[in-house]
Amino acid sequence: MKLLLWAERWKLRRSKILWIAGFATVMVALIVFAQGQFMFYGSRYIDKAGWFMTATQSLATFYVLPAVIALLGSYMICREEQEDTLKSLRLIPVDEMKLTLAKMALTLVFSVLIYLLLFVITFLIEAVLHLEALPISLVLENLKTYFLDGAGVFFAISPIIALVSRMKKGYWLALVFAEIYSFAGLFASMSNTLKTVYPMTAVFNLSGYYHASVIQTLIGVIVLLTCIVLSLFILKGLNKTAK
Amino acid sequence: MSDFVIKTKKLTKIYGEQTAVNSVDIHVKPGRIYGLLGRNGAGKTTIMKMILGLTPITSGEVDVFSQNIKGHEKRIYPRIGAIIETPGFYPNLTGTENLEIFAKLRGTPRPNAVKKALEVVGLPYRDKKLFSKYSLGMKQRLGIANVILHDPELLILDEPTNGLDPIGIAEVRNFIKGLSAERGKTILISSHILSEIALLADDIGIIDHGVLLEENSMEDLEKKNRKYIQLQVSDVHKTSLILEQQFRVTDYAVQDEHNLRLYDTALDMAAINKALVVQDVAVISSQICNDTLEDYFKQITGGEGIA
Amino acid sequence: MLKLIQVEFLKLRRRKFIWLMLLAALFMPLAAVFYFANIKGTGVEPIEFYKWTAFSYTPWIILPVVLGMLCTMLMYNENQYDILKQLWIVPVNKVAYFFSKFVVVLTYSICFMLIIAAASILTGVLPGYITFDSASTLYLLRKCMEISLLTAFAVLPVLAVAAVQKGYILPVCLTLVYTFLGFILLMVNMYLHPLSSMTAIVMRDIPGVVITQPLNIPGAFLCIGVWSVASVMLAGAVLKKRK
Repeated sequence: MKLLLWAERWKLRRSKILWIAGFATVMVALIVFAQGQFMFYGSRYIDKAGWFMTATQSLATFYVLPAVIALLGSYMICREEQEDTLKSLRLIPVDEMKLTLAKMALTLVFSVLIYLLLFVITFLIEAVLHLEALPISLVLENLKTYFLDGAGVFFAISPIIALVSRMKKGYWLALVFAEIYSFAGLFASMSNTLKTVYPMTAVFNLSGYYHASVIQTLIGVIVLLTCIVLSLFILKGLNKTAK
Repeated sequence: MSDFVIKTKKLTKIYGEQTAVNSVDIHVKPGRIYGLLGRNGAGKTTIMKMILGLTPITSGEVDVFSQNIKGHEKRIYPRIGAIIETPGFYPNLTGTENLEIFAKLRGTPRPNAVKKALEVVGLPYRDKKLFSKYSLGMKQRLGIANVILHDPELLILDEPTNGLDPIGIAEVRNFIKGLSAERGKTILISSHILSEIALLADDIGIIDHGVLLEENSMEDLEKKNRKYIQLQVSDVHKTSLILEQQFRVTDYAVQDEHNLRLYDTALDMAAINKALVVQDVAVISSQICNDTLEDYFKQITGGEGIA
Repeated sequence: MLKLIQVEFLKLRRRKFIWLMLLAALFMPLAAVFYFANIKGTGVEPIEFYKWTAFSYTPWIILPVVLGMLCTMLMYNENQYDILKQLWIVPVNKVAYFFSKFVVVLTYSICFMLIIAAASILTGVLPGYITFDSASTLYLLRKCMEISLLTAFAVLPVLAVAAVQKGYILPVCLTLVYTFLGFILLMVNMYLHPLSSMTAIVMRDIPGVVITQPLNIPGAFLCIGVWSVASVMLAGAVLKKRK
């Protein structure tokens, strides 16, 4: 398993996808920053300490990042088929299930890293704008939120990535699915029950962005665990049908 | 326990309505080069894929090292090196980096296996060139390097000389011969180029439209296509009389009124010619010929020929 | 030219995914059903209902993302399988080639919005939220046409990037960021981004929409025009330079 993870890391050398994902993350931060210029009852959003950090993570999660993370994961899976390396790997032999698991694990790491990158950017901008108004507890709270967002988003979209690895060429589908899936979170958040069970918003309950009760948080954990179990099942099915 | 490294029994593959491979029995003996010859689309690649377990078998059996490959992949694959179709590699990595990934995943024990393998196929070690920038020939060489990386006992090579220039083809051919002769590897190789197989293989299997038409050793095939003297004369009857009575030749065949073939090439042609002329038979031409493999294949594939 | 466009449509044969993507059109109408069932109840003004199904998140997020993916797919396939060099020696004019792709995008956009229109009416009338009348239906159709035409132009930059670039990852991430930017700029300055300009044009005569900025229809058209011309020029220049 360690070996497979090492190989996956190695395979991404010089690959532009990480840069592009990073670029997308930076762009999101900049765009939200632009939104911060919006005047609301005589004061700018951005002037309120902590607004930028909070707004960026929620907007990014609803609109952009889940799709980017799904793209990362499905790219790693689909490339083996597309570059025709899968048959060489199978002849080694490499267990396809383990291979996909390694890719998923790496996607989880990237997901967390992307959110941490976003945190660093937003934190720096906040610090430049109003360092003195920024209590350390708020920063730490946000760090926790970003970190849990990163992990949670991966869990929420893992079934999509797993599904892609079954369909091989369906990374386009993964993107559209992931985008609509995360975007639908906006609507799910309108109803309190749906908010608790919809994976995308369950992430927010878990990460502390929404003020959630203990039960809601627990349900969130269960929902996300169900997601990962579901994707494991999908992958297992893959292993059976592949031969 | 059988004496074959690869043995298939009534191997069949059906895609939808189409039978791609039909009841094929292949026997690859240890330490020999087995050439699978057939036109494009004859079913060579499918056979190799089925042997390797890369595609489901419709019916029939495959034994590799006297074992069914299914369920024994972990034991059998490390003993095999295979190229199927064109080799796939990661385009964003260099050749060396690509091989290092495969070497690590295989757990290759020898430390400088990558370097050695690259040397063998004549590619530079630790080059900066990315795989995506490789020419077709370089890609093929890298594929071969990947196959010999872990020093397998059995090589399965699907058209390994595809896309190489003539010099490259000769190099790969010598290299494959060397592997077999010096290191005792068993090699299953496919090609649509007749001359290639003829120069390389010890045993040969001819496949056409998914059917194995003939499986034989090269020596036997050559015997079938022995040399002969083609004699064109004015009168065959008289000639045969002279041949039998004067020279005690019986191993010949009359083709038509003017042509006959002598299968004993050690005959004293000068004497025969002289005798014929003396007895008033005009000799129009006499030459040593041999049936090429190509003629033979045309004959068994029903005239379509190969390559 | 006509031949090129015909050929473009022939190329779409057996690309199942392109048709699957049309399913995304059903998302907002279904979300509207859910929203009105929970919150508003029956007896809504048809326009009010259509505003949900067709005039809000559909042109802001869903349609641009779907069209962006389509652009990427159209271009990527030919880049990947090395078909382009065969086309150039036919010869095919590079700008005409680009333009024929655009026609496909435009047609797709129109189909997409027509499905939205049909779905809006069905999801509205069948559960009895709205009553069917010809005036509002005609209005819906006219608006859908406006949206589909303008959005097709607004995604030209994505098509251009997809055309000059070999991979699919950059155009896809760009689609997400670009759409997100357009959405956020709605509240800041509508006349910088084609997608938000498109919204300004569409919103001009929808009753009950509060727009925080003064309406400037010529400005919006100018914005879309400038971006479109710039994209065509970029694509033309790069395609011509690349031999």
